[in-house]
Amino acid sequence: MSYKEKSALMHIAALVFLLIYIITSSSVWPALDPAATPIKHLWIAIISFILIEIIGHSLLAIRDRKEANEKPDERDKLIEYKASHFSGFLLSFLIIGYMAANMLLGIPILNLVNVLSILVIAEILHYGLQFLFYRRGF
Amino acid sequence: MVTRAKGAITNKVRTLRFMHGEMTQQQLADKIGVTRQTIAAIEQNKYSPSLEVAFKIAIVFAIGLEEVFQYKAD
Repeated sequence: MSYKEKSALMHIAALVFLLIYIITSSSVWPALDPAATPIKHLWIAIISFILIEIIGHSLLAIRDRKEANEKPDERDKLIEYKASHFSGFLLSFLIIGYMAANMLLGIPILNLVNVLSILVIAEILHYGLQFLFYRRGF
Repeated sequence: MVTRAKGAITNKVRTLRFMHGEMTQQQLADKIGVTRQTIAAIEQNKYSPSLEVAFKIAIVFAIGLEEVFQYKAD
């Protein structure tokens, strides 16, 4: 497995952790009260996510130092473009669908947990597709 | 009505490397400015390179483009 495939898996692992943390801790988040934004839980989630990314990628880079320092070539750029295209489409679809559902159901504000979850799911798809394209070709 | 032909691009990069002094994937990659993983993907027909990279590969082996890459329409 190449460094880029491992890197995509590391991103997915960190994002899955973030998604699970957001969902499991959301029960204590006051969804419809913007004055009570769950700053503490957000900080824990974001700092943990960044730490997993930094430590994970540092370990990967130490193991595959040469590959980690390589500049992206045309295949890397094409894979990035294709993965971004599909994940961007999913993100737009989910956000617009969610906003439409909120308006139709008459809920005054967007739920922070759901919006964050949609962003994380789109990123998981992004790196999942990257891994798939590197592994199986396209 | 325009119909798009389905087909596959195959290549002889692996064979050509061995015919040129058992050139490694890394050596070929360095000569044409891509990563070793991209050469491996091209050899396994997982990735069809751009025309520019295809020409660079042909130039390295000093043969025509059609001798390196073949297109088989279904």
